[in-house]
Amino acid sequence: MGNILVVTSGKGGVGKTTTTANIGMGLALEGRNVLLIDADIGLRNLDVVIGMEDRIIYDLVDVIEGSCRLSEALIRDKSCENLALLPAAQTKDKTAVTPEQMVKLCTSLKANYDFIIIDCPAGIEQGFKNAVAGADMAIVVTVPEVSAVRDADRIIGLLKDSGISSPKLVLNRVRAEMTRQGDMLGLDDIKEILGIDAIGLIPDDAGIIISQNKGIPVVLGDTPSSKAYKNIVKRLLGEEVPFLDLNKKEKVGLLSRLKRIFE
Amino acid sequence: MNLHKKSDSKVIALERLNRVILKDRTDFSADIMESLAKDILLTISNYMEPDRSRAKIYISPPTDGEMPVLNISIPITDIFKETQVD
Repeated sequence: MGNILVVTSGKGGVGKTTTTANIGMGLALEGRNVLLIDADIGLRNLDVVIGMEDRIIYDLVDVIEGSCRLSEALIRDKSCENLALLPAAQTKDKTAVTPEQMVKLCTSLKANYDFIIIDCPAGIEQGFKNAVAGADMAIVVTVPEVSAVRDADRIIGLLKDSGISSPKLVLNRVRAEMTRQGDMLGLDDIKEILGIDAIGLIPDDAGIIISQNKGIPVVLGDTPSSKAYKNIVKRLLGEEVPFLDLNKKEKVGLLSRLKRIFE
Repeated sequence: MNLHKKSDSKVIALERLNRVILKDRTDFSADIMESLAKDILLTISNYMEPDRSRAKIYISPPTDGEMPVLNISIPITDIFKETQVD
């Protein structure tokens, strides 16, 4: 029986979709059967982040309304067969689906996947309720900014009201230099305020933007954020992995330096 | 404001975050807090002259199982020899 994990945040633009895509791909690379569900009806983006935007014919609303079979709406990743996406509808709104329908869908899919990961829309209205309804675990993504952490706190309260009592924190876009200078909230600060355990610390990394430009999840690469996402995957699979030390300077050999120059 | 100067702005962020989260968690609205601040300043001004522009009145969240704390920091520009209350 698979785990149903919702990736949420409250505030928009903190990296929910990127986190969903990279954890999903990371788990699939570890041999797990993974389904990503984009619950952001009307503002879908998971398809773009994962490079599947040209392959959508049917979507989540079509499946729920019975306009197509589930197998017709699912898109399998070309490079990693055990990763599939159920895209959101782009032309409808969040009220096109109810929480009860999401629960029914997730329950029917649970037996077929090791992990179902739901990309939750921003906000706390219908879209959030839909995304959370079928989930039994949650990852709360935030960035080290007062407004984002405040919204994360609100979301944690709502998750607890929905029966998800131990959400895990992913702190995204951490800049080591600013943290060192005392100008950025650190993981320990935010963990203490929110009162939840962390499962990931993602450094601010140009690799994320480059990977999104290409439609290839950064977890397939070799940047600091790739490593951070791989670590989240390991932790989800029960491995104990220390958090990245962002203050540690990367040792670059002469060969690597020369390679970078010619790249 | 020089944004490039070393500022330790994290300390300010933490203080603001703690306040705002406490308000959210306790439903202690900004209106009630403002009303409380006005009453405190009014009472104090019977005995001394507070610098209203630099006054800070806020609640810190509970730490280590303790209760929330009402923090009041009000610079005083003058202390009256006699109370202003009749």
